[in-house]
Amino acid sequence: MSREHIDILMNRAIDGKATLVEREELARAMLADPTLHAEFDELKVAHSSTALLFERLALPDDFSRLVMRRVQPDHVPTDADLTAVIDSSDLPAAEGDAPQQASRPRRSQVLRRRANIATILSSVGALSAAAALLMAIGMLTGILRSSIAPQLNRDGAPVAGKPGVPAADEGHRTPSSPSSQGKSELPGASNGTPGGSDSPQPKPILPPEDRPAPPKSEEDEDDRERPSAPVDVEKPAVPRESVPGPESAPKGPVQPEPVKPGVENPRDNSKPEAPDTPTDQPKGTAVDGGNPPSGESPNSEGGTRVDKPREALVWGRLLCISSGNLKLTGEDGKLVPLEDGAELRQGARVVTNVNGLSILSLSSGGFVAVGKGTILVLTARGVLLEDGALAVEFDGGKSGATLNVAFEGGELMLSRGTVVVERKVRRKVSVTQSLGISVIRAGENPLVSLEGGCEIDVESGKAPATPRLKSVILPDWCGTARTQIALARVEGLLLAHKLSKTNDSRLIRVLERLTRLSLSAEVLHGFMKHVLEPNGLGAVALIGMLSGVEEALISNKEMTPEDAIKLANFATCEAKNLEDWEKRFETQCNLWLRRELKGELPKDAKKISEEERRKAENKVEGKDAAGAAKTEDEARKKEAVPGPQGK
Amino acid sequence: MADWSKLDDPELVRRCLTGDRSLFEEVVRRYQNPVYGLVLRKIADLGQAQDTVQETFVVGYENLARLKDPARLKAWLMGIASNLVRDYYKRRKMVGLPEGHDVEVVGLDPLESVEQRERHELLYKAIATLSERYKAVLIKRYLEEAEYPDIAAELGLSVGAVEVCMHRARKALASALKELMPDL
Repeated sequence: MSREHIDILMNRAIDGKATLVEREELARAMLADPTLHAEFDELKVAHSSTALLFERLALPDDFSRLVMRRVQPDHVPTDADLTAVIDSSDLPAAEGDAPQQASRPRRSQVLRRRANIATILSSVGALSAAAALLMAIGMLTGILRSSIAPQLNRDGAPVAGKPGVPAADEGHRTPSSPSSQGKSELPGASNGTPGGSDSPQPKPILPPEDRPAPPKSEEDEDDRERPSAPVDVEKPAVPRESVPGPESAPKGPVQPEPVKPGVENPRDNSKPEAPDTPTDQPKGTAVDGGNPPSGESPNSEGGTRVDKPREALVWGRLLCISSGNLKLTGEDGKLVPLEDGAELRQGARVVTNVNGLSILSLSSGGFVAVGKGTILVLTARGVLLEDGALAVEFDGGKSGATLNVAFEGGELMLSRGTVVVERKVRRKVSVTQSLGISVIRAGENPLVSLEGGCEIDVESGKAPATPRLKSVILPDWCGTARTQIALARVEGLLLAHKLSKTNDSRLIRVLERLTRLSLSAEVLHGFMKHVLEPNGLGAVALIGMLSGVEEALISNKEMTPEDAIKLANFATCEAKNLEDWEKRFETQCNLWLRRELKGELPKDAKKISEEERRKAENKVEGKDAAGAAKTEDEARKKEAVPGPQGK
Repeated sequence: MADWSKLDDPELVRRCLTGDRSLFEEVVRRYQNPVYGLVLRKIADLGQAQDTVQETFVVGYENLARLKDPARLKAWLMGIASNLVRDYYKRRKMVGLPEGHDVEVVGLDPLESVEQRERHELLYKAIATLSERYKAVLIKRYLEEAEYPDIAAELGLSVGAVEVCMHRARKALASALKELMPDL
């Protein structure tokens, strides 16, 4: 009996496919050779271990459903549905042009989006200033109000709570007063209906009043449970974004409207018109005046103040839609497409489609890139991820501010850096920290801090696993999103350079590759700005430089993207043109590598590296050795000349 | 729920394209394991492998209309998976990571016993070091639960050769286990 035959018999026996004759044959062979028996036992152990391992490795049972949820995240409306939505809405004509826009060449779309982005970015500064001014006015008004409140309170009801925000005021909301309905100057203020049926202005893009669950398939129902993560929709994280009165209502397509976000905010659902405590009321929306008899309208009596409904605070804007679409879930569950630049409010629930990629900018700073098939709710402190994936970029600076991403079973607080949060399987979220610092809170478990270059899975109801260190390369869509953000930040400078179509796409491609790496947006922005500034080398050189950085990263594996960009920036300082820059950058890279190989820098490292740099630069500039020596001698002489202190 | 498993690929694709896109779930169910097997042979990082499989079907869904020969649906999906794997390594190369740099078993239950987990990690690493053919046979047999004749047909080998491959692969795993966990 050949050895190969015995091997096959063992194999069949392990697989349970051996016939009776084969089993007997194998038994005889093992009796004759005890080593065969030991080998057979080992193989059986290997088989059972392997079977168990592959059982664990198998895809989840609901994998196909997960895929379907990604490709069909929600009810995908038919063309007829979309037409009906567009026809029934009062959106400006431009919004109805979406299908036509989709058919336009990509180049024109890019230009149009860039123009929108530039407009948005320029308006952000003005809005911030206006918000700060309004906040100051609000504070002053609050102080004055607290001093005059007793006079306004005609029936002498005691004023409780915070100064300027009397508890008794809660009963004085105009909507509850029939007489005020016809007199209210605010559209929709009378009945609290969003927009008001008689509103003459276009239908606002606002979060729904009662956000009914979108149409779901039966099997999806349990998968779409509301996460138990803490979500603070009502308390504004950024007071400057509060909307204190009608005069501060944002201009544009969005108008003030009462909103009951209904997400993790039972108070809103149960008592939409009368919060429990005065502190529940967002700043600036407090109702003034005393406690007039029922049926009396404050504005009819006092004539000085008009009650206004509570408004959802401004969360931020839709910076741009990179691909696909982004839709807002309407109050009736229908999805309303959003356009670039649309203002977003807290409590809004937005959905991207199967190839959707949108970038949102927060008023408080930071960006959220919403991946395909993603559902998220905009909260006061960030976002609530219901499904899909998103990438967040934020820099809280020294203020200690965080941007929060809530998800089922936990919450991520990002202090600075870039994080990708993806709901992979049911009740499980994967968090990848590319850069910066963040903290994860999962139920009652201890906080887990994350640093750049790690990944962690958080499963609802379980303690978070230990973060795994790994070289993070962000997914393609993150690269695309970060590229859009990077380009948006230098939009003004870039427009001045008028890149050709080819160079434009080259720039986008190289940026898309680089931004997937652990590269800080600030460092990249600083570099791009430096190159694109009027006295910089220009946009075409920028493409070459970024390609050079990319090549340097490939050839120097130890070099981090941030190091490479810093060296590139350093080389830019004295470079006259791209060729010059390339030489200088190569020198910088070589010096860097030499320092890396040496390990720790010696005590006089600075001096040495300065000399090396000087030598290298002399070489680059074409000076001969004598010239270099002369320069060094001159330098030494200068150092040797005793200064006043030397005496 | 209707049983779509009896539909052949061309019919399934035709129905997906003409009406019910949700039928694509049947496509996923039908080919998730072969695609996963292919990806797992190339990508050692388990989490990444599962992501790639998901991405394969998403790309397949989005481009289903571009499939010229629906009878070759499986080969088409495998092609997409291969391209995604290639893209993955291209990206890794950009930051200078060699193939198989991080062999992670991230899909395993963190709550399983330390010993069991260690054994699985060890075994997984041992599988990752096997030759491509052995790995293919193992994955097809254990993950896709394919029979030997089917494996032989797919890999272009005789059934006997597949059996020998399987035996040697098991032997390699057994010796890896024995070497690193002698008390097993």
